[in-house]
Amino acid sequence: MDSIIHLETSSISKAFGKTRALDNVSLKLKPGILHGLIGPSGAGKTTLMRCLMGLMSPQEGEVKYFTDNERRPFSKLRDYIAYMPQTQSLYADLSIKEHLEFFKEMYQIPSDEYEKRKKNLLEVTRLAQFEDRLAGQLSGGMYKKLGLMCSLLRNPKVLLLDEPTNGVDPISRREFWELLYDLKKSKVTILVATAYMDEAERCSFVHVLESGQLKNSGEPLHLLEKYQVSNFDEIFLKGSNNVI
Amino acid sequence: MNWKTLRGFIKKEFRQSLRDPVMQRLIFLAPMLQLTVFGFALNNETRDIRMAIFSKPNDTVIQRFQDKALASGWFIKANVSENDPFMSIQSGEAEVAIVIKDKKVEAATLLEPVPIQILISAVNSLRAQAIESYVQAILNDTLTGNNSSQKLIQIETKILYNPRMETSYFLIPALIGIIICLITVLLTSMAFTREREAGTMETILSAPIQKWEIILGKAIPSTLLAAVNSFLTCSAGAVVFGIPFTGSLFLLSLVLATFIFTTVAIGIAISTISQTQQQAMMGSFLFLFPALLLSGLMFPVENMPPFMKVFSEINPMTHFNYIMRNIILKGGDLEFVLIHVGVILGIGIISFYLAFRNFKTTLN
Repeated sequence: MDSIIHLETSSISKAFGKTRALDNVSLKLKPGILHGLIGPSGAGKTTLMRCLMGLMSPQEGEVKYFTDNERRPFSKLRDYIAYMPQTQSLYADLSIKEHLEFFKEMYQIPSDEYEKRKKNLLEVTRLAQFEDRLAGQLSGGMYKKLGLMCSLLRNPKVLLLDEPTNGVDPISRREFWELLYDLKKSKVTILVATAYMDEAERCSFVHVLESGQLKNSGEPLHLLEKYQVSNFDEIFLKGSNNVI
Repeated sequence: MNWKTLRGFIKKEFRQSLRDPVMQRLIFLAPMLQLTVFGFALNNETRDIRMAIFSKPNDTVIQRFQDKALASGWFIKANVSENDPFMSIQSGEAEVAIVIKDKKVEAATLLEPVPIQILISAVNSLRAQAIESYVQAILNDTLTGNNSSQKLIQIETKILYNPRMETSYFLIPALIGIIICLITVLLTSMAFTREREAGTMETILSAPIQKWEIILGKAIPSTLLAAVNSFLTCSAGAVVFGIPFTGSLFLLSLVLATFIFTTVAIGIAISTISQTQQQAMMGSFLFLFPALLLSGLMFPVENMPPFMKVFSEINPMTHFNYIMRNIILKGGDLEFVLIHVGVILGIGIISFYLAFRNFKTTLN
């Protein structure tokens, strides 16, 4: 499939009891670029990700999926959207190799294609020598890279990453972002949710989420200008009153 | 349904369950150990009953009774320190006391009968019942044998299928059922909750995998493990306890397969309604204990009040016990076996349906 996929949400809302995790969020993910979803903990980033991945259904509004600007049902595009959950989501008692084998079967990847991708992924993540190590024994950075590898194995058109660098050391974080830049070249639409504000500046487009509401969307520099701040931390440090 | 996806899922399940050496031992060795230990220990044959006799000296009838009782192997002579029947039981020196006060039993006539009093300690009521029936049987035997020329009615009892009334013949088939149940219900009820707690459920659900594939991917490994286990336990039953297994092995396999299917389905149904492994564990025991108690192993189903009988009849273990005894001891009546296999299968299908309906492919 060579067509371009893009996603939109039209005023979706999702509440858990009295908490409104998402409040009337309309978001557009332009295809082929690296999007950042920033906001403090509890802003609703994970809920939004889950709604985009079809793991949760919004109570109001809907998530729309398009190929070449033509609306398609989620079930048709599901195979091209990959998701990496925020929580520990790998099997501690399976090795790197066994994870890749498992996802190969889950995504129904042909064997020759699999061998090629596996070799490539192990190379860029520099995990080749740890192939037989159990996921439970990997370092934080390696673990996240394995997670990314598993979601990249199916050559997705859209990649949803929920706080992929959370709890990872600075060097591994930089490596991780370099991996993402490489992906950008291959025209994959990426959405990275993060609570690290410095990472926002690495994205081509940033969506600011706070208390379940989408406060702003735009290019990073443009947004900084708009808020009249020098970095993204300040947007939230100044308090929510300043979030336009 | 994609068989390759399913195969990949099953492979992963096996790798996970068998990676841990402790789990390996728990899955394969523990059932064998349980069977052997329970089989020997759960022996409800009453033996070594301490018996004290208080009678006039040289009472030949009582003497003969005592000889028979001791020869039966059930009774041993109690060491009694006092000459008070009640005290001998109170002190625990004897469990049963035979008391004949005034004269010898042989002197009994129609006009002057001799009362024989039997005192039994019923601290353990099951044992007391057994003692009573043993004593009466031996007494009857002794007394009718006394003047055998006058015997008008002769009772000749022949016990069929289990002539030596071996308890193990009754217990082992049920134990096989319990062990299968423990393995399948416990293992599979953890199936989804473990993934949910580990966070891996989110990964699986976001992959293009069908509901059926996930459920079967969990059900098939447990089924295979239970199948291996039931083969091992049946073999142990035959080798260690000499269970005859008179019926056809094909019928036996059919019954085991159906029973495993149903217990796996119950495990999965429990798994789909539990959020945590703890809940799944409690849910499993909520099924396992009543299933065990109402299976007719401990209390005959016929003696239960009608209300309880209903629960007994919807309990797959009850039907499993019916069939296993029938096949192992009687050789298996095809019709009887098929009816009960049908009931077990029905329970399994309903459980599978409930599991399928309750299984959510979203995190809502």
